[in-house]
Amino acid sequence: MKNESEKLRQDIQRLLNDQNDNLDGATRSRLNQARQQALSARRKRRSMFWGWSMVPAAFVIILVLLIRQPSNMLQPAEEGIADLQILTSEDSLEFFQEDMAFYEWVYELTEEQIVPDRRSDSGVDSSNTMVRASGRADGSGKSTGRVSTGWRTPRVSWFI
Amino acid sequence: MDAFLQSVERQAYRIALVATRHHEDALDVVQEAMLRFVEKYSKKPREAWKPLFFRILYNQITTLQRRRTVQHKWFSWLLPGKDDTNPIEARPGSRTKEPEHATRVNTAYNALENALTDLSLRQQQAFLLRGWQELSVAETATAMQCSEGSVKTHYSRALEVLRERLGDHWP
Repeated sequence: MKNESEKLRQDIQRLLNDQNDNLDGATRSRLNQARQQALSARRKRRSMFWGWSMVPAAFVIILVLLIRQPSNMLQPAEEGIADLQILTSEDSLEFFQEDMAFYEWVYELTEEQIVPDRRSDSGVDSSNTMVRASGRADGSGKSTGRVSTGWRTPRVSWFI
Repeated sequence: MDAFLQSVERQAYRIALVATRHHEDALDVVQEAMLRFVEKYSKKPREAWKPLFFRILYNQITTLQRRRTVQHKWFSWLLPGKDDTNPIEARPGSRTKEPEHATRVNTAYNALENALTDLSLRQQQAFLLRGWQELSVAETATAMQCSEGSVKTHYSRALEVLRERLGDHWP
């Protein structure tokens, strides 16, 4: 009985395999298309996943750029003001281009000597004191210094 | 994944054809099963692919049969007539043997197809997965979503019915 059942099973198995081996071309083609479609759908889904996963990353990058933007924007504005001061200055442009080491020395000298004197004279808090110094080279090493309060001009060497 | 699907696509088509008895429906069922399998189970271990694929296939067959039942009940007047398959495209493959043998095989296959159609869907499942695809009892149970005991019961009943139907006509 068991052998008969097993023989029947094997016969059926052989017949079904035989039918599958002789499947017509159109059906084989359709099955192939179905398989390719399923696999391409997976590839599409994967690329969509990567595409959508880039959205949060792009958002973070844009956010970081927006946060950093204002501080970056200040620098050109300050530079623009400094440039304007050079252009509107009574001194010629050559003055800002030559002997910068000498002018820096003059600036440091006036900062060290004049500001402490002025602070002691007027009692103005040094943190609020804005110092502007300018010197003119006359060949003798003499220089003139001006001190003013209210706003601060960056050092001359920053501009050039 | 491609190799796996290629290895099971013809069996899947044959199983769907036996269950639906309709060429286009069988192809649709196989395509849908492939799509769902790739979508949901491609990350599972490779050993589990076969029973899982056949489980999805049978789920698709059940879904289609339910849909067909509703359509026949309410929209039978809208349904198209017989399948208009192109006979040239549907000719057998090049490996067909001599005409006598082909006729004998076709007769045997038609008898088998009728006998398989007379089985309940569960018996069909049990026989085709266990008897034809040679899945283990555990794998067949996974594919059928039932206990191993049920698989054995359905399988033995299916064999009994097939023996009764095919006994005299089998080549």
